[in-house]
Amino acid sequence: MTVSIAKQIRRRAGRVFIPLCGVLGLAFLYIPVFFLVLFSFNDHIIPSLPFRGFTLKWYEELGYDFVMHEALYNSLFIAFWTTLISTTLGTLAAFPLVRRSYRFKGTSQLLILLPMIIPHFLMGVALLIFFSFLHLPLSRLTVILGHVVFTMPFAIMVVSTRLHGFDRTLELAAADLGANPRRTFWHIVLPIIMPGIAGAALLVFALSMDEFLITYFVSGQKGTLTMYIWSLLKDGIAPRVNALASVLLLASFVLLLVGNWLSSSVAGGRR
Amino acid sequence: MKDGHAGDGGLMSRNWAIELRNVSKMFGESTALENVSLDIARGEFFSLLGPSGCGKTTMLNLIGGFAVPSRGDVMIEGRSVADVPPYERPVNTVFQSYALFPHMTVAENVKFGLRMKGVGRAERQAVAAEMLRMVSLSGYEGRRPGQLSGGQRQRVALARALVNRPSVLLLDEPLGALDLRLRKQMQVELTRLQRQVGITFVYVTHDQEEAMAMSDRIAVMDGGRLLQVGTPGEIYDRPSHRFVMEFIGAANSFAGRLGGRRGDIGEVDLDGVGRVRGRIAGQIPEQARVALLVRPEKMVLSSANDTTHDAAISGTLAHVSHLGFVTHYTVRLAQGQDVLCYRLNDRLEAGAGPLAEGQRVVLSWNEEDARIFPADCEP
Repeated sequence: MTVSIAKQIRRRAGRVFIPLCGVLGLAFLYIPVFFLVLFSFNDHIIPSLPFRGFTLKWYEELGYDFVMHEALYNSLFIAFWTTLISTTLGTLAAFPLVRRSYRFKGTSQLLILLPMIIPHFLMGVALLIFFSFLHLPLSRLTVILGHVVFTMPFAIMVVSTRLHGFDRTLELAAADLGANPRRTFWHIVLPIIMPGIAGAALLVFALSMDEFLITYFVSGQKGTLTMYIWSLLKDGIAPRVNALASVLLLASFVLLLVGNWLSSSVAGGRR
Repeated sequence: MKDGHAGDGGLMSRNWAIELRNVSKMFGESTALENVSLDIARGEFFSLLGPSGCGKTTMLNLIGGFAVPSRGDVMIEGRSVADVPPYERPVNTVFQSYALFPHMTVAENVKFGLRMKGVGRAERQAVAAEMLRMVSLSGYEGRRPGQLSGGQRQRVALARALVNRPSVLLLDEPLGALDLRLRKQMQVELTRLQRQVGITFVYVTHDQEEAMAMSDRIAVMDGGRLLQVGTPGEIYDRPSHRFVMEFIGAANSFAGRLGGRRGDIGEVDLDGVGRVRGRIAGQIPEQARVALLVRPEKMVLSSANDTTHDAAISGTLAHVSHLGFVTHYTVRLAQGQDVLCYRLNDRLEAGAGPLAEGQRVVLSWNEEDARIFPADCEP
C-alpha cells in the first residue's frame, strides 16, 4: 500500500516536474530576448522597466540611420560571399572526407574540424598577423577570408552528415540507366543532398552575420553591423539597438522557417 | 531453350544474349567467382541460384558493369564489354533495394533512362505511360517512391528498367523484401511480363522454389563455382553434384562404399544397412567411399511382411504426419538413422493400406531414382 502511494506521488511529481523543467529551460532561453524586443517598443531613452508606453520611434530612427545602412550592406555583402565560398568548398571537401579512404584520413578530418574550437580572438590575431605579413590591406576581402576560415568546418560537417546517409546504390541505378558520372551527379546526387547544402548555407550565413571578434581584427574602413552595434553600446545602451536587434531577430526567424520548409519539402519523398 | 550449349561455334553465338568465358573474380585474397563459363540465350528466363556468398551477385555485377572480371571475358550480344562502363551497356538492373530515386515522382523515375538517352519529351511521356500501364501502375505517375508500398516500388523498379528495352534485364533478388503472398503473385506476374516483352531475364535468387517456378534454365552455384546448368526438371531429377541435389528439394543421404557397377548403375554397400543400387553421377572408382541420395517422394514404403523388393532397407516407422495431399513418414533404421519418405494421398497410394507408428516397414526405390556421389563432402 505504502509502496503504491509512494509510486503514485513519484508518478505525479514526474508529470508536473518534468514539464516544469521544460518551461523553465525555455524561459531561460527566451526571457532576455523577450525583454530586448519589449524595450524596443518602450517610449523611454533608457531601456529598463517600468514600461513607459508603446512607440515605434526607435524603428523610425533606424530608417534614418545611414551609418547603420552602410554597416548592414557590408554585413550582407560579406555574408553572401562567405556563404557562397564556404558552402561550395565545404561541399566539395565533404565528398572525399565521407567516401574515400586514404592515409591520414582521421588526421585530416580532425584538422579540418579544428578551426571550430579555436577561439575567435586567437584566430583574429593570427589572421591579422598573416595578412600584414602578406601585405594584404584590410578590407571586406580580408573579412570574407576570415569568415570562410571559421565557417567552412560547419559547412563540411552539415553536408557530410547528409552525404553519410546517401544510398550509393542510387548512383549505380543512375549509371545502369545510362547516366554518366557527371549527369549522375547533377540529376541524382546533388538534388538529394541539396537540403544538406541549403542547411549549411543558412548556418554559414547566420554565423557570418553574427561574427564580431574576427571581424573586429581584420576589417578595414568598412565596419559590419555587429561592429556598429558595438560602437553604439560604448555610449550606453540605446533603444535603437533594441529595435535593430528585434529586426535582425525577425529576419533570422524567417530564415529559419524558410530553411525548415525547404529541407522538409525536398526531403518529403525520402524513403 | 534446352539445346544449343557452348561449342556450337561462331555462327550460333549470335543467339546468345550473354556469354561468360572462363571468368574469375578475385577480391583481394578471396575468390568470388572461379573460372565460370556460361551462355544465356536470347529471350530466356535464366536464374542464378545458390546460397548467399556463392558468387551469383558478383556474376550479375560483372554483366551489369559494376565489377570488372579479374580473368576471362564477358560478352553481351556477341560483343566483349570489358571496357564498356555500366552506362553504355545494353542491360538494365532491378536492384534488390529497388534504388528508386526518392526526389523524383514515379513517372520521372520511369522516364529517367529515356531522358539520359535523349528521347524526346512527348515520346518519353507516351512510352512511360504505356510501361506503367503494363505493370498496373497507371494513376500513380505523380507519387513519390516514399508514398508507395513495397510491391508498388517493385513494379516501378521493373518499369524503370524495362522501359529502356534492354537486351538483358538483370534482377537481383527482386522479391526478397516482399511477403510470401505478394511474392507468389509477383512470380506469376514477372513470368507473364517476361513472355510479353520477350527480353532476356537474368534472375538472381537463393530461393530454389522461386527459381524452379519461373525459369527456363537455372544455373546452380556454390562457393564461386558453377555446378550445373539446366532446366528445372534436369536439375531436380539429374543433379550433377550432391550439393545441387540437397539444395534443390529434400534428399535422404546414406553413406557407403561403391561395390560393383553395371554401366552407370552402381551397387553400394551401405554401412550397417545392406546392399542397394543407384545411378552413379560422374567418375567414381570402385571401392571408393560414396554417398547415395534418394528424394523422399521417390521412396516406396511398404509393410515388412511384403518381401517382393530386392533393393530394400528395413526399419521402424517412427513418425507419421498427415499434411493433407501428402503424408510425411519418418522411418528409423536399425543403426539409428532417420529416413524421410513422402507419399501422395491419392487413391493409388491409399490402396497400400494404412501404416501405424511403431510398425516394421521396408523402404525401396527404383535404381534410376537414387544418385551416387563421391563422399568427399560428407557432413
